[in-house]
Parts: sequence; C-alpha cells; structure tokens
Amino acid sequence: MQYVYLDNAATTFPKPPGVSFAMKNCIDGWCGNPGRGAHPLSQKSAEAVFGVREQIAEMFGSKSPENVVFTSNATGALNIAIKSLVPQGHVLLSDIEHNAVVRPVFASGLRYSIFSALAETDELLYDLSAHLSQDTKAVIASAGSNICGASLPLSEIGKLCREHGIFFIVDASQYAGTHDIDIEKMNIDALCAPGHKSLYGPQGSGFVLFSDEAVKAAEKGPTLIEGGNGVNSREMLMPPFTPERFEAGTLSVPNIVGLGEGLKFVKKEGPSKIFTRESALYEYTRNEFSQMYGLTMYAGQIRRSSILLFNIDRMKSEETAAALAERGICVRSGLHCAPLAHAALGTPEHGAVRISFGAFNTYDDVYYLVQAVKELL
Amino acid sequence: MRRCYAGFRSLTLALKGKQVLEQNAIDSEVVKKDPKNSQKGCSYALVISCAQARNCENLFNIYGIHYLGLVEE
Repeated sequence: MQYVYLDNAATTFPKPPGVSFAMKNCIDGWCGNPGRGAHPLSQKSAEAVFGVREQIAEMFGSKSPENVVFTSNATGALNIAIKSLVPQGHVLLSDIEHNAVVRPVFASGLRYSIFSALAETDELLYDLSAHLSQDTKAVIASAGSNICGASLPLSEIGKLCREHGIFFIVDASQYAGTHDIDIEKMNIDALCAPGHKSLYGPQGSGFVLFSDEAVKAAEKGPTLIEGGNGVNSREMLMPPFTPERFEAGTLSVPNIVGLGEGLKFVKKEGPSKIFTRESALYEYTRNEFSQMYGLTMYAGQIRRSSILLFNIDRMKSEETAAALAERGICVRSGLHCAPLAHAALGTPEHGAVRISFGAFNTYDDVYYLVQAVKELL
Repeated sequence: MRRCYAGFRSLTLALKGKQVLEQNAIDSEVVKKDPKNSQKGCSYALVISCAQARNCENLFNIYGIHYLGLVEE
C-alpha cells in the first residue's frame, strides 16, 4: 500500500537516502566505541562523533562543539537541561508545552507558573513578566507547538531572560530544521532537540546545546545518569566537564552518524526553504478545510508553523485518524502528549487530529488528503 | 622528530584541539594517556612535533581550548 505520511511532528519519514547509507556504512565498516580505546576504530568513531558535535554547534550559532551533549531524544535533552540548570526554585512554562517539559518540571518539585503562548508578542511578554518573581530561575518554552501553528518569539523572550538574569531553556523539537536558530543572538541557554524530526536523523538521536555561560552552571548541577565514559575512570563521580559529565555509557555512534547526514541535508536545503515548502502545503490544506462544513480547525493564527489541527465534528479524533489510516493516510489523533496545549486551544476531551508536513510531502499528498476528508464529512 | 604532548582532560577537547591544528596545517595525533602516569594528569594528549609547540600553544590560547600543558616526550 502506498502511504501518504503526514505525521512528521511525531517523526519525519522518509529520511534522506544518505542517512541509512551512512549508518550501515558505520555499522559494517568501522563502528568502534569512541573514547574507550586507542585503536583505529575507536579513534575513527570518536572523530565521527566530534564531527557531528561541530555540525550542531555551527548550525545553531555556537563556537563550542564541546557544549553539545548527545541524548536519545529531546526528552532526554530536556531532562538534562532542566535538572542540571534548575535543581530548585520557580520556573515559567508556556501553555503549549509538551509533557517532555511539564513532567520533568513536576517530578523535580519545581514551582511553576504558566504564561499564554497564544497571545501577540507584546501581550505574551507582558504576561511572562507579570509571572516573574525573585525566585524565578528559568523560562522553559517550546519554540513551536507540536499540535498547532503557534510558535514563540524566541529572541524577545531570550532578551527578557537575559535582562532578568534567568536561564532560557528551549524545546526546539518542532522548530530545529525549519527555522534558523542562533543561541548566542537569541540568548538561549540550553537548546534541546530530537534528531529524528526536522533534522532528519534516525530515532534514538537528540542533543542539548548549552551556551558558554549556562554550561558552567550545568556542570555544577546534578547529573541525571552516572556511569562510565572513558574519562577519569578511577574517580567515583562523573567528571566535572561537558559533554562527558552528561554522557554516561556508550554513545550510539550509528545514530549520531545518521544524524550528521540529516544535518547535512537540512543545511543543503536550508531550513527556511524547507519551511516555505511545508507552509505552502499547510496553506493549501487550510484553505480547502476552511470551505468544508462539519469540520473544525484549531489552527494557530499567530506565528505559524506547518502543523494543522482539526476535527470532523461528527467523529471522535481516533475514528477520523483510523478512517484516514484505512486510506493509507498517516496522521495522529488524541492529545499528542500535550494536554496543556489542547486545553489552551479548547479541543474536545478526545483531542483532535494532527496533520504535520515534512520536507518530502507533495501537493499530490494534500490533494489525496483533502479528497479523503471530504469523503468522511 | 622530537615529539611533544599537549594534554587534555577529555577526548572531546583533544579532538577540538586537533581540528584547530589541522585548520592551521599542523599535523597531530590523538593518544590515550593514563592520568596517573602522565606528567600533567591528562587522559588524552595530542602528539605534535616539538618544533610546532609554540604555535600550538598560541592556537589553543587564541581559540580558547583548555589544555593541561605541553611537555616533551
């Protein structure tokens, strides 16, 4: 069966051809354990891993590849960033946060306040400022919602955080790879992203990129996982320097190599160009949906991304998604691990259906989708 | 060739140092060290020609790469 894949916010599919080729080449040809031995395979693996740190640092405006900590996904990255930078105190979250932000904050026992992400920039900043207190240590915010078109004004929030001397931790899961991000210019202290979404790497890859100032604070904070890393083996504690402090255990070299190929693809295509293509498909679909009766969209009108949320009024979201799946259309229904965001958008208890475009979607995909939805109305 | 060792606390920093030296046409090789047996207590070192030692130190300082010292073999 031919699939129309419109679930790129969950994971992008397909990947650029070079990704699987590079991973297989690594596994079959030279994949040693980086930093554990002095032999050629270990050295080559270590250099390959370092090369991808450099790619990430360069892509996101850092001169410090050693500030890149590899993780399995954005959830791991956010846990490291939040728990090392903010062991206690008060934080600000937006009302579109994913559980990957909300749950670590809750589990850490941090006090939190929520500001509205769906407001205009001035209003958003005013609301954010109103929630600041003496004990506020960080703003933790998703650059872009995983369920609708809303995105946050990163530069403006970063500037406000810098003025108040608090950390700015960004979940870039739905933003990295489709928008330009510069952590220095935007005053971002920790940029967390998965490798397997719009960076077109494999699942099992992700990272946090610390700023030069924040990394010093993170290195004084608690570690999440302790274990071997090939450095200071006689010491009982994790080393006090990044990235080794936060990378216990063997790194997944094939996944990191695959991520490197994904990054090359994104750099070659250009994040803005990829976003422009996705936006065109989003706009076409939104226009078509807006002419249909019996369908409700929850599209963010402010600072759009290429994610469209909707319901067919007479059906639960799971039923709609299942009906589309029978036609080979891959979308996701429910609450999308973002109950706060669904509450902010006013979706029903069963959530909604999410369409998320990727670099490899075409107009043929959206024509087919639109026709299928019409048949369900 | 007289060999000198620039010591680093971690492999990541040693690789960063190697990258900077390569960009400036200086050959180097990463080697693993036992911190207990290395003069500066480092885990990894870059092996370079001692003739390039001064240049390497300058480059590490310019690029802000923290190294634990440079010693002759």
